[in-house]
Amino acid sequence: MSKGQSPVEFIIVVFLFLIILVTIFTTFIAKLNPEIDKAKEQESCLNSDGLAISLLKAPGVPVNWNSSNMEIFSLTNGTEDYIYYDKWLTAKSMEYMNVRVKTIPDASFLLSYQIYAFKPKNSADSCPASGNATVVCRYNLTSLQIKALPSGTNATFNLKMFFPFSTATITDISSESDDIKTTSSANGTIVTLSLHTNATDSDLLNITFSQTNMIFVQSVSYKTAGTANLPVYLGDTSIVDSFGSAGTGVNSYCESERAVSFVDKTGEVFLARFSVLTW
Amino acid sequence: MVMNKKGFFYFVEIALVIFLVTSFFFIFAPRAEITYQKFHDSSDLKKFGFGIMKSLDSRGILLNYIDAADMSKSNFTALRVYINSGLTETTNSQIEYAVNSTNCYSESGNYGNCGLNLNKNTTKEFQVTRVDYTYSKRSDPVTIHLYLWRIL
Repeated sequence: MSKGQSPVEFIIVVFLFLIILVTIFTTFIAKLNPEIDKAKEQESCLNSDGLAISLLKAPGVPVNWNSSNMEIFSLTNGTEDYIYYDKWLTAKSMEYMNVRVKTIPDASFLLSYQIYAFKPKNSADSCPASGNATVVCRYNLTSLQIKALPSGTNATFNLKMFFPFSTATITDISSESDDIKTTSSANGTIVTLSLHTNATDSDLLNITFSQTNMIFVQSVSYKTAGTANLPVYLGDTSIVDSFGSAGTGVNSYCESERAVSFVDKTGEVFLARFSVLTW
Repeated sequence: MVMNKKGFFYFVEIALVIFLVTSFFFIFAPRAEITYQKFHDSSDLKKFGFGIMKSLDSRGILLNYIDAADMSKSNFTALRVYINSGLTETTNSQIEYAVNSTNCYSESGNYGNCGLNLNKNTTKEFQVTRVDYTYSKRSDPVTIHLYLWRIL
Protein backbone atom coordinates (compact mmCIF):
# COMPACT_ATOMS: atom_id res chain seq x y z
CA MET A 1 0.00 0.00 0.00
CA SER A 2 1.33 3.41 -0.91
CA LYS A 3 2.26 5.86 1.68
CA GLY A 4 -0.57 8.29 2.38
CA GLN A 5 -3.42 5.98 1.37
CA SER A 6 -5.90 4.42 3.74
CA PRO A 7 -6.98 0.75 3.32
CA VAL A 8 -10.52 1.84 2.39
CA GLU A 9 -9.23 4.00 -0.41
CA PHE A 10 -7.02 1.20 -1.66
CA ILE A 11 -9.98 -1.19 -1.74
CA ILE A 12 -12.05 1.39 -3.66
CA VAL A 13 -9.25 1.88 -6.18
CA VAL A 14 -8.76 -1.85 -6.68
CA PHE A 15 -12.52 -2.29 -7.06
CA LEU A 16 -12.69 0.50 -9.66
CA PHE A 17 -9.73 -0.95 -11.47
CA LEU A 18 -11.37 -4.38 -11.64
CA ILE A 19 -14.60 -2.83 -12.97
CA ILE A 20 -12.61 -1.11 -15.70
CA LEU A 21 -10.81 -4.31 -16.62
CA VAL A 22 -14.00 -6.38 -16.70
CA THR A 23 -15.83 -3.72 -18.74
CA ILE A 24 -13.07 -3.51 -21.30
CA PHE A 25 -12.74 -7.27 -21.50
CA THR A 26 -16.49 -7.93 -21.94
CA THR A 27 -16.81 -5.13 -24.49
CA PHE A 28 -13.93 -6.57 -26.44
CA ILE A 29 -15.31 -10.13 -26.33
CA ALA A 30 -18.81 -8.94 -27.32
CA LYS A 31 -17.43 -7.23 -30.41
CA LEU A 32 -14.89 -9.88 -31.30
CA ASN A 33 -17.14 -12.39 -33.09
CA PRO A 34 -18.96 -9.84 -35.27
CA GLU A 35 -15.59 -8.34 -36.16
CA ILE A 36 -14.26 -11.76 -37.13
CA ASP A 37 -17.34 -12.30 -39.33
CA LYS A 38 -16.77 -8.95 -40.99
CA ALA A 39 -13.14 -9.74 -41.60
CA LYS A 40 -14.26 -13.00 -43.24
CA GLU A 41 -16.77 -11.03 -45.31
CA GLN A 42 -13.98 -8.78 -46.43
CA GLU A 43 -11.97 -11.80 -47.49
CA SER A 44 -15.05 -13.16 -49.31
CA CYS A 45 -15.48 -9.85 -51.15
CA LEU A 46 -11.87 -9.97 -52.30
CA ASN A 47 -12.47 -13.54 -53.48
CA SER A 48 -15.72 -12.69 -55.32
CA ASP A 49 -14.05 -9.73 -57.07
CA GLY A 50 -11.04 -11.88 -57.91
CA LEU A 51 -13.20 -14.71 -59.21
CA ALA A 52 -15.26 -12.31 -61.33
CA ILE A 53 -12.02 -11.06 -62.89
CA SER A 54 -10.63 -14.53 -63.56
CA LEU A 55 -13.93 -15.75 -65.05
CA LEU A 56 -14.71 -12.70 -67.20
CA LYS A 57 -11.43 -11.05 -68.13
CA ALA A 58 -8.90 -13.79 -68.76
CA PRO A 59 -9.33 -16.92 -70.87
CA GLY A 60 -9.01 -20.22 -69.08
CA VAL A 61 -6.14 -22.65 -69.54
CA PRO A 62 -6.20 -23.92 -72.19
CA VAL A 63 -8.35 -21.27 -73.91
CA ASN A 64 -10.67 -23.85 -75.43
CA TRP A 65 -10.72 -26.07 -72.39
CA ASN A 66 -12.99 -29.06 -72.15
CA SER A 67 -14.04 -31.36 -69.36
CA SER A 68 -10.93 -33.51 -69.63
CA ASN A 69 -8.15 -30.90 -69.99
CA MET A 70 -9.29 -27.89 -67.94
CA GLU A 71 -6.45 -26.44 -65.88
CA ILE A 72 -7.88 -22.99 -65.06
CA PHE A 73 -11.61 -22.30 -65.20
CA SER A 74 -12.92 -19.29 -67.10
CA LEU A 75 -16.19 -18.50 -68.86
CA THR A 76 -14.74 -16.22 -71.52
CA ASN A 77 -12.44 -16.93 -74.44
CA GLY A 78 -10.48 -13.75 -73.89
CA THR A 79 -13.06 -11.16 -74.96
CA GLU A 80 -13.61 -9.24 -71.75
CA ASP A 81 -17.03 -9.56 -70.09
CA TYR A 82 -18.33 -12.13 -72.57
CA ILE A 83 -19.72 -15.39 -71.22
CA TYR A 84 -19.99 -18.38 -73.51
CA TYR A 85 -22.95 -20.68 -72.93
CA ASP A 86 -21.12 -23.79 -74.15
CA LYS A 87 -18.41 -23.21 -71.50
CA TRP A 88 -21.09 -22.70 -68.88
CA LEU A 89 -22.78 -25.99 -69.82
CA THR A 90 -19.48 -27.87 -69.89
CA ALA A 91 -18.59 -26.58 -66.41
CA LYS A 92 -22.01 -27.65 -65.13
CA SER A 93 -21.55 -31.12 -66.59
CA MET A 94 -18.21 -31.45 -64.75
CA GLU A 95 -19.88 -30.84 -61.37
CA TYR A 96 -18.94 -28.28 -58.77
CA MET A 97 -16.03 -29.84 -56.88
CA ASN A 98 -14.17 -30.77 -60.07
CA VAL A 99 -14.43 -27.16 -61.25
CA ARG A 100 -13.73 -25.52 -57.91
CA VAL A 101 -10.20 -26.94 -57.73
CA LYS A 102 -9.53 -25.25 -61.08
CA THR A 103 -10.67 -21.77 -60.04
CA ILE A 104 -8.55 -18.78 -59.04
CA PRO A 105 -8.83 -17.74 -56.27
CA ASP A 106 -9.68 -20.89 -54.38
CA ALA A 107 -13.02 -20.24 -52.65
CA SER A 108 -16.46 -21.78 -52.37
CA PHE A 109 -18.72 -20.17 -54.94
CA LEU A 110 -22.15 -19.97 -56.49
CA LEU A 111 -22.34 -18.45 -59.97
CA SER A 112 -25.60 -17.32 -61.53
CA TYR A 113 -26.78 -15.32 -64.49
CA GLN A 114 -29.98 -13.88 -65.87
CA ILE A 115 -30.40 -12.77 -69.46
CA TYR A 116 -32.07 -9.35 -69.24
CA ALA A 117 -32.21 -8.23 -72.87
CA PHE A 118 -32.44 -9.82 -76.28
CA LYS A 119 -33.29 -8.76 -79.80
CA PRO A 120 -36.29 -9.86 -81.82
CA LYS A 121 -35.36 -12.39 -84.44
CA ASN A 122 -36.53 -12.70 -88.03
CA SER A 123 -36.46 -16.50 -87.97
CA ALA A 124 -38.07 -18.84 -85.48
CA ASP A 125 -36.10 -20.07 -82.45
CA SER A 126 -35.46 -23.74 -82.07
CA CYS A 127 -37.62 -24.41 -79.03
CA PRO A 128 -38.06 -27.57 -76.96
CA ALA A 129 -41.65 -28.81 -77.13
CA SER A 130 -41.76 -30.76 -73.89
CA GLY A 131 -40.15 -31.07 -70.48
CA ASN A 132 -40.54 -29.32 -67.15
CA ALA A 133 -39.74 -25.92 -68.52
CA THR A 134 -41.09 -22.64 -69.76
CA VAL A 135 -39.95 -21.40 -73.10
CA VAL A 136 -39.91 -17.97 -74.67
CA CYS A 137 -39.89 -18.68 -78.39
CA ARG A 138 -39.29 -15.94 -80.92
CA TYR A 139 -41.13 -16.39 -84.20
CA ASN A 140 -40.22 -13.30 -86.17
CA LEU A 141 -39.41 -9.62 -85.69
CA THR A 142 -42.83 -8.83 -84.21
CA SER A 143 -44.01 -11.90 -82.32
CA LEU A 144 -43.02 -14.47 -79.76
CA GLN A 145 -44.75 -17.26 -77.90
CA ILE A 146 -44.69 -18.18 -74.21
CA LYS A 147 -45.01 -21.91 -73.55
CA ALA A 148 -45.40 -22.96 -69.93
CA LEU A 149 -45.06 -26.72 -70.28
CA PRO A 150 -46.41 -29.27 -67.74
CA SER A 151 -44.17 -29.05 -64.70
CA GLY A 152 -44.87 -32.41 -63.06
CA THR A 153 -46.05 -30.57 -59.96
CA ASN A 154 -47.79 -27.33 -59.05
CA ALA A 155 -45.60 -24.46 -60.19
CA THR A 156 -45.85 -20.77 -60.97
CA PHE A 157 -44.12 -19.01 -63.81
CA ASN A 158 -43.61 -15.26 -63.29
CA LEU A 159 -42.33 -13.09 -66.08
CA LYS A 160 -42.13 -9.33 -66.51
CA MET A 161 -41.04 -8.14 -69.95
CA PHE A 162 -40.61 -4.66 -71.32
CA PHE A 163 -40.98 -3.75 -74.99
CA PRO A 164 -39.48 -0.23 -75.28
CA PHE A 165 -41.36 2.18 -77.56
CA SER A 166 -43.50 -0.67 -78.81
CA THR A 167 -47.13 -1.67 -78.39
CA ALA A 168 -47.41 -5.29 -77.28
CA THR A 169 -50.56 -7.40 -77.21
CA ILE A 170 -51.16 -10.75 -75.53
CA THR A 171 -53.22 -13.36 -77.39
CA ASP A 172 -54.42 -16.19 -75.22
CA ILE A 173 -54.05 -19.59 -76.92
CA SER A 174 -54.43 -21.85 -73.93
CA SER A 175 -54.58 -20.65 -70.34
CA GLU A 176 -56.96 -20.68 -67.38
CA SER A 177 -58.75 -18.08 -65.32
CA ASP A 178 -56.14 -18.24 -62.53
CA ASP A 179 -53.39 -17.27 -64.95
CA ILE A 180 -52.63 -13.55 -64.78
CA LYS A 181 -51.76 -11.69 -67.97
CA THR A 182 -51.55 -7.92 -67.88
CA THR A 183 -50.07 -5.14 -69.96
CA SER A 184 -49.31 -1.54 -69.02
CA SER A 185 -47.83 1.35 -70.92
CA ALA A 186 -44.85 3.56 -70.05
CA ASN A 187 -42.52 4.47 -72.92
CA GLY A 188 -43.46 1.10 -74.35
CA THR A 189 -45.35 -1.89 -73.01
CA ILE A 190 -44.74 -3.85 -69.83
CA VAL A 191 -46.12 -7.40 -70.00
CA THR A 192 -46.61 -9.15 -66.67
CA LEU A 193 -47.44 -12.85 -66.56
CA SER A 194 -48.13 -15.22 -63.71
CA LEU A 195 -48.96 -18.63 -65.11
CA HIS A 196 -49.83 -21.68 -63.02
CA THR A 197 -48.96 -25.14 -64.25
CA ASN A 198 -49.21 -28.65 -62.85
CA ALA A 199 -48.63 -32.25 -63.92
CA THR A 200 -50.92 -31.95 -66.92
CA ASP A 201 -51.69 -28.26 -67.39
CA SER A 202 -49.72 -26.19 -69.85
CA ASP A 203 -50.27 -22.56 -70.84
CA LEU A 204 -49.70 -21.02 -74.20
CA LEU A 205 -49.69 -17.32 -75.10
CA ASN A 206 -48.70 -15.32 -78.12
CA ILE A 207 -47.27 -11.84 -77.76
CA THR A 208 -47.24 -9.61 -80.79
CA PHE A 209 -45.51 -6.25 -80.78
CA SER A 210 -44.65 -3.39 -83.04
CA GLN A 211 -41.05 -3.28 -84.14
CA THR A 212 -38.48 -2.71 -81.41
CA ASN A 213 -34.74 -3.19 -81.32
CA MET A 214 -34.54 -4.80 -77.89
CA ILE A 215 -36.80 -6.67 -75.47
CA PHE A 216 -36.03 -6.59 -71.74
CA VAL A 217 -36.69 -9.36 -69.23
CA GLN A 218 -37.16 -7.36 -66.04
CA SER A 219 -37.79 -10.37 -63.81
CA VAL A 220 -38.28 -14.07 -64.36
CA SER A 221 -38.81 -17.15 -62.20
CA TYR A 222 -40.42 -20.55 -62.49
CA LYS A 223 -40.83 -22.11 -59.09
CA THR A 224 -42.62 -25.09 -57.63
CA ALA A 225 -44.71 -24.76 -54.49
CA GLY A 226 -41.63 -25.95 -52.62
CA THR A 227 -39.70 -23.03 -54.20
CA ALA A 228 -37.47 -25.27 -56.31
CA ASN A 229 -36.38 -23.56 -59.49
CA LEU A 230 -37.52 -24.98 -62.84
CA PRO A 231 -35.79 -24.09 -66.10
CA VAL A 232 -36.81 -21.17 -68.29
CA TYR A 233 -35.50 -20.98 -71.84
CA LEU A 234 -35.17 -18.41 -74.57
CA GLY A 235 -35.15 -20.75 -77.54
CA ASP A 236 -32.83 -23.48 -76.27
CA THR A 237 -30.76 -21.20 -74.01
CA SER A 238 -31.50 -20.95 -70.29
CA ILE A 239 -32.60 -17.41 -69.45
CA VAL A 240 -31.65 -17.90 -65.83
CA ASP A 241 -29.30 -20.47 -64.36
CA SER A 242 -26.90 -21.08 -61.53
CA PHE A 243 -23.91 -23.28 -60.90
CA GLY A 244 -21.92 -23.94 -57.76
CA SER A 245 -22.24 -25.05 -54.19
CA ALA A 246 -25.73 -25.34 -52.75
CA GLY A 247 -24.85 -23.95 -49.32
CA THR A 248 -23.31 -20.66 -48.27
CA GLY A 249 -21.31 -19.60 -45.25
CA VAL A 250 -23.48 -18.36 -42.40
CA ASN A 251 -22.43 -14.73 -42.09
CA SER A 252 -19.46 -14.27 -44.30
CA TYR A 253 -20.51 -14.45 -47.93
CA CYS A 254 -20.10 -11.68 -50.46
CA GLU A 255 -21.57 -11.09 -53.91
CA SER A 256 -20.17 -9.33 -56.94
CA GLU A 257 -22.49 -8.51 -59.81
CA ARG A 258 -21.54 -7.58 -63.37
CA ALA A 259 -23.37 -6.68 -66.58
CA VAL A 260 -22.03 -8.95 -69.30
CA SER A 261 -22.65 -10.14 -72.84
CA PHE A 262 -23.84 -13.72 -73.08
CA VAL A 263 -23.07 -15.74 -76.21
CA ASP A 264 -25.34 -18.70 -76.96
CA LYS A 265 -24.43 -21.84 -78.91
CA THR A 266 -25.28 -20.20 -82.24
CA GLY A 267 -23.19 -17.11 -81.51
CA GLU A 268 -26.14 -14.80 -80.79
CA VAL A 269 -25.33 -12.26 -78.08
CA PHE A 270 -27.72 -11.43 -75.24
CA LEU A 271 -27.23 -9.00 -72.37
CA ALA A 272 -27.05 -10.62 -68.94
CA ARG A 273 -26.47 -9.96 -65.27
CA PHE A 274 -23.80 -12.23 -63.85
CA SER A 275 -23.33 -12.79 -60.15
CA VAL A 276 -20.48 -14.36 -58.20
CA LEU A 277 -21.23 -15.33 -54.63
CA THR A 278 -18.29 -16.54 -52.55
CA TRP A 279 -17.68 -17.47 -48.95
CA MET B 1 -3.20 9.45 9.95
CA VAL B 2 -2.03 11.92 7.34
CA MET B 3 -3.20 11.13 3.81
CA ASN B 4 -1.58 12.15 0.58
CA LYS B 5 -4.69 12.69 -1.57
CA LYS B 6 -2.61 13.77 -4.52
CA GLY B 7 -1.38 10.22 -5.24
CA PHE B 8 -4.88 8.72 -4.92
CA PHE B 9 -6.56 11.15 -7.33
CA TYR B 10 -3.80 10.80 -9.90
CA PHE B 11 -4.56 7.08 -10.09
CA VAL B 12 -8.33 7.58 -10.36
CA GLU B 13 -7.92 10.23 -13.01
CA ILE B 14 -5.60 8.08 -15.10
CA ALA B 15 -7.89 5.07 -14.74
CA LEU B 16 -10.87 7.19 -15.77
CA VAL B 17 -9.06 8.52 -18.82
CA ILE B 18 -8.04 5.00 -19.86
CA PHE B 19 -11.61 3.84 -19.38
CA LEU B 20 -13.08 6.69 -21.43
CA VAL B 21 -10.54 6.40 -24.25
CA THR B 22 -10.97 2.63 -24.44
CA SER B 23 -14.75 2.89 -24.39
CA PHE B 24 -14.66 5.54 -27.07
CA PHE B 25 -12.41 3.38 -29.22
CA PHE B 26 -14.60 0.29 -28.93
CA ILE B 27 -17.95 2.02 -29.22
CA PHE B 28 -17.57 5.07 -31.42
CA ALA B 29 -14.49 4.60 -33.55
CA PRO B 30 -15.29 3.58 -37.17
CA ARG B 31 -14.53 -0.01 -37.95
CA ALA B 32 -12.51 -0.76 -41.05
CA GLU B 33 -14.64 -3.75 -42.06
CA ILE B 34 -17.87 -1.73 -42.22
CA THR B 35 -16.12 0.86 -44.34
CA TYR B 36 -14.87 -1.91 -46.59
CA GLN B 37 -18.38 -3.34 -47.07
CA LYS B 38 -19.61 0.06 -48.17
CA PHE B 39 -16.63 0.44 -50.43
CA HIS B 40 -17.26 -2.99 -51.99
CA ASP B 41 -20.96 -2.29 -52.56
CA SER B 42 -20.16 1.06 -54.14
CA SER B 43 -17.36 -0.38 -56.26
CA ASP B 44 -19.57 -3.29 -57.35
CA LEU B 45 -22.39 -0.95 -58.38
CA LYS B 46 -19.92 1.14 -60.35
CA LYS B 47 -18.56 -1.88 -62.23
CA PHE B 48 -22.10 -3.08 -62.92
CA GLY B 49 -23.16 0.33 -64.23
CA PHE B 50 -20.12 0.56 -66.46
CA GLY B 51 -20.99 -2.88 -67.84
CA ILE B 52 -24.52 -1.66 -68.66
CA MET B 53 -23.15 1.34 -70.56
CA LYS B 54 -20.57 -0.76 -72.38
CA SER B 55 -23.24 -3.31 -73.38
CA LEU B 56 -25.58 -0.63 -74.73
CA ASP B 57 -22.72 0.96 -76.64
CA SER B 58 -21.71 -2.36 -78.18
CA ARG B 59 -25.35 -3.00 -79.20
CA GLY B 60 -25.57 0.35 -81.01
CA ILE B 61 -28.06 1.97 -78.64
CA LEU B 62 -25.87 4.99 -77.91
CA LEU B 63 -25.10 5.37 -81.60
CA ASN B 64 -28.83 5.31 -82.42
CA TYR B 65 -29.97 7.87 -79.89
CA ILE B 66 -27.05 10.26 -79.28
CA ASP B 67 -27.03 12.84 -82.05
CA ALA B 68 -23.64 12.90 -83.72
CA ALA B 69 -23.68 16.63 -84.46
CA ASP B 70 -25.93 18.31 -81.91
CA MET B 71 -26.24 16.81 -78.44
CA SER B 72 -29.43 18.76 -77.74
CA LYS B 73 -31.15 16.82 -80.53
CA SER B 74 -30.42 13.44 -78.93
CA ASN B 75 -33.32 11.20 -77.92
CA PHE B 76 -32.96 11.59 -74.14
CA THR B 77 -36.13 9.64 -73.37
CA ALA B 78 -34.92 6.61 -75.29
CA LEU B 79 -31.48 6.78 -73.69
CA ARG B 80 -33.03 6.95 -70.21
CA VAL B 81 -35.36 4.04 -70.91
CA TYR B 82 -32.63 1.78 -72.28
CA ILE B 83 -30.13 2.59 -69.54
CA ASN B 84 -32.66 2.14 -66.73
CA SER B 85 -34.05 -1.08 -68.20
CA GLY B 86 -30.72 -2.77 -67.59
CA LEU B 87 -30.68 -1.92 -63.90
CA THR B 88 -32.19 -4.13 -61.23
CA GLU B 89 -35.41 -3.05 -59.52
CA THR B 90 -33.47 -2.26 -56.33
CA THR B 91 -31.22 0.26 -58.05
CA ASN B 92 -32.13 3.84 -58.80
CA SER B 93 -30.33 6.12 -61.18
CA GLN B 94 -29.87 9.60 -62.54
CA ILE B 95 -28.17 10.31 -65.85
CA GLU B 96 -26.46 13.39 -67.21
CA TYR B 97 -24.42 14.04 -70.33
CA ALA B 98 -21.35 16.19 -69.80
CA VAL B 99 -20.39 18.21 -72.86
CA ASN B 100 -17.65 20.12 -71.03
CA SER B 101 -16.28 20.36 -67.51
CA THR B 102 -19.15 22.40 -66.10
CA ASN B 103 -22.20 22.00 -68.35
CA CYS B 104 -24.38 18.98 -68.80
CA TYR B 105 -27.63 17.87 -70.36
CA SER B 106 -29.89 16.28 -67.78
CA GLU B 107 -31.56 12.93 -68.41
CA SER B 108 -34.61 14.81 -69.70
CA GLY B 109 -32.47 16.95 -72.03
CA ASN B 110 -32.33 20.21 -70.05
CA TYR B 111 -29.05 22.11 -70.36
CA GLY B 112 -27.41 23.40 -67.19
CA ASN B 113 -24.81 22.81 -64.53
CA CYS B 114 -23.53 19.30 -63.90
CA GLY B 115 -24.30 17.55 -60.65
CA LEU B 116 -26.60 15.13 -58.92
CA ASN B 117 -29.98 16.59 -58.08
CA LEU B 118 -31.72 14.29 -55.64
CA ASN B 119 -35.14 15.04 -54.26
CA LYS B 120 -34.45 17.58 -51.50
CA ASN B 121 -37.46 16.43 -49.49
CA THR B 122 -36.07 12.99 -48.85
CA THR B 123 -34.56 12.24 -45.47
CA LYS B 124 -33.15 8.92 -46.57
CA GLU B 125 -29.40 8.64 -46.72
CA PHE B 126 -28.15 7.51 -50.11
CA GLN B 127 -24.76 6.13 -50.89
CA VAL B 128 -24.42 7.30 -54.45
CA THR B 129 -21.75 6.14 -56.85
CA ARG B 130 -21.00 7.67 -60.24
CA VAL B 131 -20.08 5.83 -63.41
CA ASP B 132 -18.33 7.87 -66.12
CA TYR B 133 -18.64 6.44 -69.59
CA THR B 134 -17.22 8.46 -72.45
CA TYR B 135 -18.95 8.03 -75.76
CA SER B 136 -16.52 9.00 -78.47
CA LYS B 137 -18.28 8.14 -81.72
CA ARG B 138 -18.96 11.81 -82.46
CA SER B 139 -16.85 14.86 -83.14
CA ASP B 140 -17.05 16.07 -79.53
CA PRO B 141 -16.95 13.13 -77.12
CA VAL B 142 -19.66 13.22 -74.46
CA THR B 143 -19.16 11.74 -71.02
CA ILE B 144 -22.23 10.06 -69.60
CA HIS B 145 -22.43 10.40 -65.82
CA LEU B 146 -24.56 7.59 -64.47
CA TYR B 147 -25.35 8.12 -60.78
CA LEU B 148 -26.47 4.91 -59.07
CA TRP B 149 -27.76 4.09 -55.62
CA ARG B 150 -29.55 1.23 -53.91
CA ILE B 151 -33.17 1.65 -52.87
CA LEU B 152 -33.53 -1.27 -50.44
